[in-house]
Amino acid sequence: MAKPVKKSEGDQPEIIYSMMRVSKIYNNKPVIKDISLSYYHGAKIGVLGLNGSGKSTVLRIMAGVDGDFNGEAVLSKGYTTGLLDQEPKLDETKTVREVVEEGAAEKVGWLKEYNEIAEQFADPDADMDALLARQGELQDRIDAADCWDLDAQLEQAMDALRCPDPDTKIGVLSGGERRRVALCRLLLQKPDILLLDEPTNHLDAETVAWLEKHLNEYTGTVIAITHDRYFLDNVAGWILELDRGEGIPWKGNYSSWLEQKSGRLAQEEKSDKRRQKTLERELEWIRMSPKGQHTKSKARISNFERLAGEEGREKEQELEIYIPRGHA
Amino acid sequence: MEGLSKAYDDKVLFENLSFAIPRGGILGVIGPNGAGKTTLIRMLTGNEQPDAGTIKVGETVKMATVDQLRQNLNPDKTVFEAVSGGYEQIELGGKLVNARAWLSRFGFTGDSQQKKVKELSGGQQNRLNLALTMKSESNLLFFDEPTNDLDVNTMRALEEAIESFAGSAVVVSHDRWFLDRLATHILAFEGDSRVEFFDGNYSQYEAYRQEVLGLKPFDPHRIKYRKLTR
Repeated sequence: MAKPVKKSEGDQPEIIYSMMRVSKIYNNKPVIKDISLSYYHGAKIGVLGLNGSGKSTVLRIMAGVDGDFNGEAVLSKGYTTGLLDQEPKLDETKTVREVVEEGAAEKVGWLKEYNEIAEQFADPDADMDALLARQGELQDRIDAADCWDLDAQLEQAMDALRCPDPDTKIGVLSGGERRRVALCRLLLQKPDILLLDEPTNHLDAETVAWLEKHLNEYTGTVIAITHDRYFLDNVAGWILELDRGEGIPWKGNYSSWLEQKSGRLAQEEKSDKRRQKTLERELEWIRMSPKGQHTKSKARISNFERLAGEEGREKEQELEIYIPRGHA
Repeated sequence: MEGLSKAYDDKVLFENLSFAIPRGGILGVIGPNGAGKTTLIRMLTGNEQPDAGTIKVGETVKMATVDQLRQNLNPDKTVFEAVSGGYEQIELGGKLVNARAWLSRFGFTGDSQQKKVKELSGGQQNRLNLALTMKSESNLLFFDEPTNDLDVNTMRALEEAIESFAGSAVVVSHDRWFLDRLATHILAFEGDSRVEFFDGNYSQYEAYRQEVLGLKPFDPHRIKYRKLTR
């Protein structure tokens, strides 16, 4: 749900965040130029663009961690944002469990207080009425949040994201492990706008599939910088392309974005024809049945002699990147 | 590979593993971090020995590896120097090719060819690694997570390059789309020291895994190794 600014009309979904003429200059170079976009509640947005196109900057501005920009960026009242950075900063001295618990800090607090009250009943001088009243209050909250088994819930979340052992200190974790822990904490926090900077880097394919499903069912807005084309195709309802600091929203998933992009390149006189053909071939592949896709990749084994011969050489010329063959 | 086994300390990475890569085959290797994928690649490339089993390499096979990190790259060289050795033309597959044009295919245009290696971002380093390895004229390529930090355009172009490559490849990747477009076979590290070799692409393997192996979808769990001792 990225859209040029327009007043919401009729039964349009609610706007949860808006950017008006947002620009940022860093080291005398424009990082983002004059971006005006509104974001709908519940929209799933994939962000695409080359390195240095300003993707991370847009997310950091939305998360409120980068306030150094021109223009206006407004989070609608009563909503929260949460960001997964490329290199998340975590307290080195804490354990994995302690960091993950931060994602459910309020619930952890209720359960802790509830257990403390139970202990205070043993004290003969305690104000029983006050304790009982407070205990009842906490009980209602814990019931409503369905978190009596919070430990098991946290354990399940850590398991789903393949976090390291809960007692491991953050200080000894690899970059990929830290990202898993940070992602686990963020998903437990459930902010209204989830901002993810390359969430699938360093995750294995199975966890990526799990994350795709989780984000698809996420009730809030999801804005993800990602090159995971299954997420972009299956989950994203909008593609926000950043090109040299400018934001170009597209309503649709990856396939439909490819289609319009390829069509646009075909019309441009000076466009890179190799690039355009590459987009077309990817579209062709998407449109094949699973069986057709399989037959296509298998064909390289049965047709290997042809691939290694003159036909392969001709094909090389049409590619953006090619791998020279060895003298076998 | 026949009957490969490998253990570290008291962790069994794999046991009695056998598979073969056909000519032209592209093997996608998947599994959680630390399950033994990189160790297996190191064995296939002769950089590590199995505890048991044999690896047979065809006589005409010439291997090259795209590593995550290249230690032998001088950080003070420019991108252009690193790939061209300072010459305007480089030899690729028996043909002379303009080095700058070759670099531009990997997203290095104009000024960025003059950047020093140490100044590159993760994605740029990855692209430089690709440009370097692809010069090597091999017929069996190893890729260890080639798509991390790459943009979609470069990934798409790389897919087509591997697809049209007149050789075989082993690709460790977490990118399901990349694997679906490329892989003719899958080698999956499933935890508990269990490794599956499958004839098909990633999506087909996932379906097989659920139907035949009875493993639940969308239910990742932490990686466990079978202990050697109690």
